[in-house]
Amino acid sequence: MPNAIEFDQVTKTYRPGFFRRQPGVRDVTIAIPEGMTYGLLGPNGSGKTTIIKLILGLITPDAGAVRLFGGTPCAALMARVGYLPELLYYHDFLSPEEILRFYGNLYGLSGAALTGRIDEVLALAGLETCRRRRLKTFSKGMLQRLGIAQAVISDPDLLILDEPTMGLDPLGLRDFFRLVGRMKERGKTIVFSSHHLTYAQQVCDSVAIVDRGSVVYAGRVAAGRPLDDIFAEKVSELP
Amino acid sequence: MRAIAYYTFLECVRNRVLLSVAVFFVVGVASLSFFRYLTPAEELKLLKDFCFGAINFIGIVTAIFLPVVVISREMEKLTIYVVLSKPVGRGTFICAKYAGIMMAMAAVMASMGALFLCIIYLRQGTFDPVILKSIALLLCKFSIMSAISICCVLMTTTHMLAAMISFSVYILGNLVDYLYELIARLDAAFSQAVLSVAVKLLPNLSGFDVSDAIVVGTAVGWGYIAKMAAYAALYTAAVIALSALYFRKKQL
Amino acid sequence: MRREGSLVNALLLFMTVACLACCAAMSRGIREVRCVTGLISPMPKMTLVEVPLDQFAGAALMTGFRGIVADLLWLECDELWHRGEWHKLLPYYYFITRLQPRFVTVWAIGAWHMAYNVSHRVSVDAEIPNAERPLESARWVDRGIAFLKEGLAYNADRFDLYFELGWTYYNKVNDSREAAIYLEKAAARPHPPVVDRLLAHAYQACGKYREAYAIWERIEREAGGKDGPARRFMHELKTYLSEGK
Repeated sequence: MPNAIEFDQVTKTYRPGFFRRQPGVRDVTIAIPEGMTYGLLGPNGSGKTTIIKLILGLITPDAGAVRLFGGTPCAALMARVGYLPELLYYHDFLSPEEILRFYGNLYGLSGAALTGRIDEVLALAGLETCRRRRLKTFSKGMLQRLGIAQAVISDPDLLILDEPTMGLDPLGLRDFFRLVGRMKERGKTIVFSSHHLTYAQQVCDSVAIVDRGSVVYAGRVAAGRPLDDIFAEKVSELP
Repeated sequence: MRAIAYYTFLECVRNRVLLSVAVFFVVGVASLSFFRYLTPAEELKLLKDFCFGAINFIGIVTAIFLPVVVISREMEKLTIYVVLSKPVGRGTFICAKYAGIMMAMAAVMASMGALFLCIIYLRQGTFDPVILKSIALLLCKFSIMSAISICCVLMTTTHMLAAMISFSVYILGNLVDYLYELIARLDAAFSQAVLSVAVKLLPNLSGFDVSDAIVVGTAVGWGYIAKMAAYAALYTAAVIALSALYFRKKQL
Repeated sequence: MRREGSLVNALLLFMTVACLACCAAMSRGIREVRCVTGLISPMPKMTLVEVPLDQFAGAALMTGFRGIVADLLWLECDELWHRGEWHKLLPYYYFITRLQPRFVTVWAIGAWHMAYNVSHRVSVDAEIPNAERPLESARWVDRGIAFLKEGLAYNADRFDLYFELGWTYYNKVNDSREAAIYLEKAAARPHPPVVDRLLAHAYQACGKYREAYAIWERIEREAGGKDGPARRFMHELKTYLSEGK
């Protein structure tokens, strides 16, 4: 299976000030084949978001190479990517329908095809009844559902989900896992970043555990070995 | 690109600040009715000067602060991550944002211009289409300032710094003619050369202000307007290209 | 992909430099174009050195708002005039005319205040010694005339200030020759009938009876033979001409 994502000894250092340096990730090497559900796990500030930003081309590596579907991350390749951000901010002066139409337009969708797709994803996200309400009035859970809807609107080949279960109620969680299952069946690649190891254990085929910018564990998820144990073993104590 | 431009326009017009601005304009013009002890000619001059001044003030505040608000909000709330995770080039993003802001500016200017024409019609009984020439030139000026504001927002870390730099460029842009005079009086050839280059890089904004001429009845030719519009287009293109270039390399 | 990215960057850089270069080339020419098209008058006398810095900064900053500031200051002038605080008016006139040199009313009324009101005021001012009053009064008339001549530099295309100068020379200075010179210039521009009438009077006062007669004749003709005063003046001038004057 060709790789959807490849990191080849990637290093990224942030420069918050003229003389200050802040390490992001160091010598990260991972390969995510197409069709795999891959977990990115780690404590806060470990470098998971940096890895996601590198995949999306929002930042570029200082050393090493990042490849997305065999090429450097660029605008053209983003047509095959759907992204759910961790922070639930959207253009709050719009309604769900307008947001989905906007993002659908960015994917090149329009007309009846887009309208049909909007109806589908709104139904999937359970937001049909509030499709015209301004996002300013939405709760965290509703925004998370909308986030999932906008991530899948173009039926992407790669789905990057950053903390996708945050704010979801039990029904929302159920719908979310159903969606992930359906995407897996259709051979989509999913990158799943989360603090919830039990959810990761449930959905992921393989995981990478990131700590202080380095990948401390990468391997398949085995039923017999809980991720909690691996995590506790590999991730160092906070000072 | 059309989608980003349209939704930027929507964001601007749904902003209550623009509504407040429109109300301020109407209230201000209405208050001029208290100056009835002037001669009719002076009253008309006062009305025209006030309308032009108000349009200029509202326009420049909008041109500087709208990009600051729209783009800073996008970067602070990280909605930019969601947009740029779609197949949207960074250069396209900047151009589309600029287009959306200019659509909103044009809508504001068109509304104020229409109101201005109606007010003049009520006072003197005739339409004065030459006023539209001045408003067209003001829109060209604001197109330059919006582009500069976008560039400053992208390159600085705070809203206030971006707004202050934009406003400083606005002031210096209006002083370009005086600066040329000042440079001519310098003795050192090196200082002259360096300052000349610096002044030439500033936008020459004084050329866009023909309201004084219009108020006293001087004709403004379409040739002049075309020249200034070309200047505005070139300068705006330069600034937007620079902004796009910077944004393409920016680590988000 | 990387090569394409570099190409786009190079193109953007080229576009920036090329457009800025074009703008730099056009920048200086903008002022000349404005002078040629009459949108601004050239600044023959007011240079940076002569204008106090605060006025310069104020005038420059107020681009676009000059009109409002000039109008508000003009309203203030009206207040000062009605309160009789004439001595405070002069700085206002100078500042307003720097802001809007084409605001003809300010030049005209400012000059009128100097040449008539202030000139009269100093002629009866108890604080000024008797012997100095006529000289001081004459100085204010001169200041008024100088103010009008300064205004002409910015408004040479209009009849207004030529007419004001003509009137001041004719009425205040009693120099009808000088008055005629300026009134001729006013008459050479689009003007109301009063200019022709005053020119005719100025001609008559300085002995140019034929010229005066020609003007009254034209006025009478244009009025369809119904202008009583014009006929009367023509009759008077005919008498002078027949007497060989």
